[in-house]
Amino acid sequence: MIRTSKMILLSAVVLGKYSELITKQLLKLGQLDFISVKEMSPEISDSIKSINTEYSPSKLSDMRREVEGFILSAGLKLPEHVEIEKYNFDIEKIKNIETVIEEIEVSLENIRLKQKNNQRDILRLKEIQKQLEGSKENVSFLQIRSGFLEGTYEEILEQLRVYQCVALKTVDANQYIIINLKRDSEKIDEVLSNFNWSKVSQTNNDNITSINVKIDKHIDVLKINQTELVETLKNKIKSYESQLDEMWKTLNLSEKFFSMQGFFNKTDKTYIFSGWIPLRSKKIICDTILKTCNNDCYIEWTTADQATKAGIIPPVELETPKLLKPFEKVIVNYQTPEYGTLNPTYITAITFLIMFGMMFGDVGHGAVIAITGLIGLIVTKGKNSLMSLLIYCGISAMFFGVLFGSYFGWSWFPAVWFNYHGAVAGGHTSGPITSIMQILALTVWLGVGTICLGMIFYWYNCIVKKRWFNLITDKNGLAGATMYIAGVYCAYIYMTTNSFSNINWNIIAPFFAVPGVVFFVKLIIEAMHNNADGKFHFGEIPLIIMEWFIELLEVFSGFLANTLSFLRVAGLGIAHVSLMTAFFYMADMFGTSTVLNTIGYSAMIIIGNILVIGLEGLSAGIQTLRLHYYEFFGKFLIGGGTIYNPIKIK
Amino acid sequence: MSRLSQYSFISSNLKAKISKILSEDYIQKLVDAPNINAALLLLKDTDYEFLNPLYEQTADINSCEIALFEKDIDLHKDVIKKLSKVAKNFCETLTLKYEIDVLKQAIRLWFDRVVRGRDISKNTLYLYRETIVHKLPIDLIVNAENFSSVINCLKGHIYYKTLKDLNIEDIELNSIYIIEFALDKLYFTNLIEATNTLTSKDKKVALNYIASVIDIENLNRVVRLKHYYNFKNEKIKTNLLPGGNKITEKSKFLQGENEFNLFEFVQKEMPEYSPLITSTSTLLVLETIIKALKRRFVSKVLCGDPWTIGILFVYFIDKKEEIEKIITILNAKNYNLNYDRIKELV
Repeated sequence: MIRTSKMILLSAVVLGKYSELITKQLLKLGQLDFISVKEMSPEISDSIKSINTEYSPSKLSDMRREVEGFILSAGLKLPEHVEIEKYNFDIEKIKNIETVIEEIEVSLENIRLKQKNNQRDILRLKEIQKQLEGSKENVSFLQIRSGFLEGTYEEILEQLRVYQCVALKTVDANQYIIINLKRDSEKIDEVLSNFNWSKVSQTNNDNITSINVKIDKHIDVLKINQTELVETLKNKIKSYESQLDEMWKTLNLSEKFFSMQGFFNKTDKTYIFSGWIPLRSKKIICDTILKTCNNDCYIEWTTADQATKAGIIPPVELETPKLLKPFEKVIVNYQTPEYGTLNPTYITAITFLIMFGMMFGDVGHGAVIAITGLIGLIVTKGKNSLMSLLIYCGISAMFFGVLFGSYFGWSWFPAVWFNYHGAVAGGHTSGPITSIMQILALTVWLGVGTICLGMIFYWYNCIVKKRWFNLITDKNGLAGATMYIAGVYCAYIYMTTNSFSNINWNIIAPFFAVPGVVFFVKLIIEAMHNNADGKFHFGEIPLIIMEWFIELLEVFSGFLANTLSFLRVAGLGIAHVSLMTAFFYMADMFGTSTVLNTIGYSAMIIIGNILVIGLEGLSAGIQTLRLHYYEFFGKFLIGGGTIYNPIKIK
Repeated sequence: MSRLSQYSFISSNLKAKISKILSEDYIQKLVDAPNINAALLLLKDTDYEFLNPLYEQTADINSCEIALFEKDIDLHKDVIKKLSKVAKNFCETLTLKYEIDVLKQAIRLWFDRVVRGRDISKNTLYLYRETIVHKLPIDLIVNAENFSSVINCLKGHIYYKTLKDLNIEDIELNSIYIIEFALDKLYFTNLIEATNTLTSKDKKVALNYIASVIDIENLNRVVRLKHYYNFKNEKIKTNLLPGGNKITEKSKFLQGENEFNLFEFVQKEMPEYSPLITSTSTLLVLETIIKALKRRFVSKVLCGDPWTIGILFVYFIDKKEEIEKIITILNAKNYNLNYDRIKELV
């Protein structure tokens, strides 16, 4: 729990006849993060073969997404429960699915063609309408005529569809008004002659309005058609609902099944596979494999240390309780910790909430944030971890609100720790902190504490990874820490006595000098290490001195900046109080003497609270994240890990 | 009005919008989608969610394309609304590009119908007829009897004088290339002229942007004129747009009878881009270089002064690129192009 989960590498050889059963069981357990046997043991790569299936996982994934597309576009829901034991992974089944997908595609293609034609008919009519508008301005490219045609309306329409032409039915069944662009006249004449066109009268611009109305009606009909076609399409897909459900389940499982089998290698009679599992799952995995194969298999375990020595890096699993998952996301978003190092989730949960709470301590505001998070969590069905984080932050703000005695900016109850409003805005104060300077000092101490904690974690990581050189010589190692503690002591003495003369330099000077020497020696050792002959070259001394000087400067300025950076915790807290105070002043200007004044007063208080919750909440969140990413994680979190990613059904 | 107050809102607004532009991973997901429906479903929670119901209702990819074109124009109009008077005029001139594209398309349809005798009925359905900057007589152009009538339709428009001076016979016999070239030239001349209304800082950024775009246009022209028509250098020079930085008629590689080779050109004139050349196809290399040039401009602006008109260009470039990628992917999915081809195109 304190460190990333211990992993162990499983290598197994099973008889070919058990391969499907084993795959199903492993998929059900969802614990194995596979690695390539050929890459792990290149010496046996010639004697083992990969398993090739007719359907690759990517092809299956395409098919699954295609089915998913049908399901979602018909407004259906994706199936949820998948029972792997029931499934029989035969290629015929997948071939059959491919045929059904094609069949659905073909049946939909017909409808889509109708949709496309319908859309073009609408556009054509709209274009003709535009031309009719032009006719009113005597710039017409239209030819409008009326006459009789023999043949069905659909046949006529089908032949005219290729041109910008509209055939409108009149009261008489066989009489039509033909409107087309003059540029297509000859071609339209040809089409009309196929239907024995006989002209009856010349249509002139006087009945353009009535033609327009007819076209409008026609467009309305086409739009209804359009809606009907969408429904037809959906219904068509729905008619395959149960099949699609089954197809999706099969494809989803097959995709995972064949992905897993893709990591299997085979000899003539056996299958070999290898992958990482958390150490805690060793027994269950072992028992499952043995039981499935009737003890007829060979299992080998390799510890993470042995594997690392062989150049196989274990994946990282941060074993975090579900409740703390949002904080794990905060960490992984920064970097995945290196295998075997500290899992900072638990401590991050504490520091994150302390910092946020100190910046945003108010029971009412915290409650609003927590409720917002809760609503968000319900709306997103628990899928958005940011919402869980909001709930935590809200609760923390409420907790600190009680400590600071702040309830929507009012002091309804006395502060348990100290009155933040009183300390910032003056007036009633209580508790150990009564001024802004004390608040600033408090947050600087918070910074010192966090930085020291970060350095302790770094030492821990160095010890577990046996990086002794880094432990002693790094900026965050013992040398840097000694210098930092000495610096903090000097600053403390100066701040409390306003003079450096009270510092006993005979004692303190070595705390600066020894780390300084350590940094210098470190640079010499690094230079030797970087030289091809492994020796120290005296010509490099000026460069080393320069680097040493810069490093010292960086250590001093870096630690100073890191510590002072925590002043933002006070800054945000003070801003929070000041904004509320400002809104209270503004509200007081309205007063409560009349009903209107009371309304103005209440509105100002409500608007103020909304603004403070929105602006300050966002700022506090961002600043908390920033303090963790720059000042805390940067001290100890050694990244570069690969997240543990087992193949599982979900 | 100080630069800070002029650009503080629009700069943060556009930067927020830029951060929402579809990432490379998202575009890859679209490329990976097994069909057009799956790709459209992926766009559901993005700025392009309007495409899904549109396609669902019409099954018409051209309608989606025209909707995306409209979206691109609306983005410009939306930004213009938020600008101060000084920058507004310049940005309106920038939007002329879309109008000129529509005008070119209309003239192309007229040319296809009258000179080539082709049926254009299906194409006119998807002509953009809404007003972009000026109201254009699109239908009059498409239905004109000859080029003189096309020009007459444009009387009173800013394009009239430019087109009137062209050799009509040349157009009616050969191609509309000279019309397109003249319109491009007019666009860039107007754009350069419009920079005079900007503040000196903005003018510098704008001229830099225009020169980069002209360079890209000219590089495109040089490669295509050599590749498809085997033009001599002298003829190529007359087909270059003025105002470029790197590719002008004075460029070394266009002097004498030097044989132009894009690969050599990149190595000599733009050595920083040579590592990007991974293909042997001239046109693919051209696309890569054009993309890299645009990226360079974008990163230069983003690293520079945040309170200039540059942020607008970055937004327009990024957004246009995004829209183009979506159009390409949707078309490719609609016509069932294979995966590698789509990857190549995107």
